[in-house]
Amino acid sequence: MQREKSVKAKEVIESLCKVLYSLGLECVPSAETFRRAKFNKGEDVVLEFWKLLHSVLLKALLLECSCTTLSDLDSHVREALWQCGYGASWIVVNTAGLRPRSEVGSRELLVAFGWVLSSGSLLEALLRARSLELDILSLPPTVSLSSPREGGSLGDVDGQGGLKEDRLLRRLQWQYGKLRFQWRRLLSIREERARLLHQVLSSSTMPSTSTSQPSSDDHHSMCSTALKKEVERLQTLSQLLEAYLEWKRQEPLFWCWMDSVVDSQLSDLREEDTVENMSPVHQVVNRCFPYGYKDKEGLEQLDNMLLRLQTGLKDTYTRQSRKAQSVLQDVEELEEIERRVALRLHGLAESCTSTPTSGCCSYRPSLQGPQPLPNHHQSWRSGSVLPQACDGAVLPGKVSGTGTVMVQVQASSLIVELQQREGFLLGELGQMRQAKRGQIQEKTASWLEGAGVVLIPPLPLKR
Amino acid sequence: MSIVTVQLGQCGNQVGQELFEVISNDANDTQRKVYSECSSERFFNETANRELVARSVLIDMEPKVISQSIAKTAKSGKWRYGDRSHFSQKQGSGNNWANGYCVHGPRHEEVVMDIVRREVEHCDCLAGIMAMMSVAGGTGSGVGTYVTQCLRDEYPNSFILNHLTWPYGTGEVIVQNYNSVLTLSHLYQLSDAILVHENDTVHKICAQLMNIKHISFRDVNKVIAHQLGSVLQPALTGDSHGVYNRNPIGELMSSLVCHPEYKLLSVCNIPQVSSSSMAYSMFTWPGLLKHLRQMLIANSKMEEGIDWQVRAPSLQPEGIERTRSHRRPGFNTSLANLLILRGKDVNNAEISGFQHPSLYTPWLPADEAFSMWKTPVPFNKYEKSAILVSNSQTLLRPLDNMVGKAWNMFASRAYIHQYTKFGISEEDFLDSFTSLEQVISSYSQL
Repeated sequence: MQREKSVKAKEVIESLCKVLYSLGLECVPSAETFRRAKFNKGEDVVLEFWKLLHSVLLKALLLECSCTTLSDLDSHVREALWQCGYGASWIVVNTAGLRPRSEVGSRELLVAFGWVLSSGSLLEALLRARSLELDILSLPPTVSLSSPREGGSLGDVDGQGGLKEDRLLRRLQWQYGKLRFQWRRLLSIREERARLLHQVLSSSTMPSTSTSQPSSDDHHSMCSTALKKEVERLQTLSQLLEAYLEWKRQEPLFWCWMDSVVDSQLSDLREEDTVENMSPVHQVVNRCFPYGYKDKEGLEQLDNMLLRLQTGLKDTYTRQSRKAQSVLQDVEELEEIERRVALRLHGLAESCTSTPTSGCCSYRPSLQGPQPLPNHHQSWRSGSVLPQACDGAVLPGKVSGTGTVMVQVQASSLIVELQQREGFLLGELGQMRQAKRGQIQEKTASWLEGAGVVLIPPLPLKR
Repeated sequence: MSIVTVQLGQCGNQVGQELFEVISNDANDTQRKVYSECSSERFFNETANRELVARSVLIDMEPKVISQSIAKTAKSGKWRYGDRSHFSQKQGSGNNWANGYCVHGPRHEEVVMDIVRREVEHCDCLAGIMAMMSVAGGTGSGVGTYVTQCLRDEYPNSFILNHLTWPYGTGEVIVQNYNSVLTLSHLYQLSDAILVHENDTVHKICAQLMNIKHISFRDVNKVIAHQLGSVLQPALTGDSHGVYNRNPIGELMSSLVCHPEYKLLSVCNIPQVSSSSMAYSMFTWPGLLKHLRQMLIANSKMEEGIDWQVRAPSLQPEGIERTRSHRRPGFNTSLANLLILRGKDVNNAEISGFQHPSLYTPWLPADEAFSMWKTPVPFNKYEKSAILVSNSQTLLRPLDNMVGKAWNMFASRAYIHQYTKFGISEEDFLDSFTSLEQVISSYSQL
């Protein structure tokens, strides 16, 4: 199984090499070189990868440079990679200076190459450029339709300024007509092209017809060499396209292999980390470029952190919401109780205030039993007896509010006292009623006398 | 790039034959290989036996002229017409535009268009179609208009140039002005450009410059063919970078007739002398161009009798309108001009006189209105020759005369029944008059 996989990987890399070679890149390393780069082996491998990166970046970025020496090539590749956005530590210039070329392993270069390959559509762009190079026949005609004189002349209108609208309109009509004629000319050129192309193709596919015509020899040979060249070009193009197709088929496998390269790089790094502590500069760089140095590890760390943060956030949220809910419930309950108590108190107060002589002294109902509970309250222990305040509900086991001292009174004695008070109050009420009635009768009598009216009590209503 | 010529009617066939004659003589010069090849590709189809076959279609409603032309070319031995590229009938159109347009045209449309299509397919690339005809008769004008309409339908994106021969003002045919008005008004909608030769002008050239005593149609046609040939033969355009222009008709139109209201082109050339006096004549570019410029602004079609008093108006300062009162009497305002120089030392020719903004309409800058082609190859035995194709007011007066005469006849309904019986109504006439009045007004406002 493992063996089969490695064989596959080799095939894939070979197809990639083929594509790169067909794209006209110089210095394409062999599949074996790729394999050795994975294991970071060999000085020559490093060199080959420097060259590969250089030629790829040169084409991709359309840079103009002629690097001959290796150090030139080195700095050039670093710059180009930096320009592409690749931020590995060996590219970055820091206070300690650039990491020397000898320290950059072939695997790092391989990873960089993988990065360049995966970012953007490098191969596609190169393919497009190369196919345009090869396929001259489908190129649009490079005919200059307008002379520079015509191009610049439109500016003159603005310069004259005083042209009236009518003139401008006529001028515009003229220009439009000119454009139409030029379009027609272009069209006729395209038609001619197509016709000539057809002739070339038909004569090349049917050689019997061309030999039957007794055309002059040199003309014919000239034609055939041109044809041969064209055929060669087309063959190269088709090879290129086939190679690309093959690569596209096998591309996923390559990225699997690339993953293994990165993994091995990471495992090496971990070993290194345990062996030697990183310099402070390195740490800074690592912080700046978490992907650059420990790509995968950093990513994992970030992932984990994100996950942790997310779960933490979720927990906090649920807790918060629960708390808020409970608080809400508490508040509601409290309100309900208060409401009920207030209602009760109101009722009580009404029943009490009807006796003006009762004053402010009243009693709170106590739900305690007739037997007092021992050692329960400070107030109890203090033993001071004061008239009870009327505000604030007294709940069992709770001290009410601020500074109000309550006196625990036995219910039986209270009932007796209340009954006495009731009797007294009722008596008083009766007296007052009588006095009022007397007053009213006197008043009505005096009024009625003056008016001479006889008062007849109303008839009871029949239902 | 090739041009397919469609020769229509008696006049069209005669002028066309002369044109191919001139071009074949000019292109036969073996010393100028590139020039000759370019010219041959343009006008001739070379067969396997190295015979030159004109890319031309001959159409007439009478057999006489076509068979004459074919016989004449066969005798010359330098070139010939295609074996199956002509079409003729027994009976003519009777100088009636309506007969040609409404009867003969539709009746023979299929056959004629088949021939044209075959001829077009022989070209590697069609640069344009040139229909040659007169406006006076019935076949050239009527059938010619109908065929142009078919060509426009069949080749909507091709350049179509109509070459028209205008009749003598004194009259060859009684209804020539009707025919002319109907032809011109229809072609103005169909064609991309209308190149006009007036018989009167050419006749004067034959009489005064060529010293021909008894002027025949053949002499007139020769002059026309010479002028046409010197326009259509290969030349180097401003931006061709030393390669002969591939699409003469397209480039001619791009520089002259971009505005759809102005499609009338006229040609004048210098020098034009009899073959006998050519040996004793010496020409310099400054002299030729000075004359040509004056011919342009004073509206004279030939070297003789130029009015040297006419001057270009001085340009008003910017912002002040150039009104009619500022115009000099007799001054010929141009919309666009194309100067073609052929012969020795063309590169030393001073052409700034044609580039002056005062020559042109105020709404088109001079650098756009003027263009020039040139070639060091001399044309038709002239060591030096200059041709001016002009989209200007030159044709305004003859056109106005023509429309005026036709209107006078129409006002008295003379000969109208000859047209209505073929299906051309009085409304059609009125439409034609209206569109030509529009053309006249456009040109007079240049």
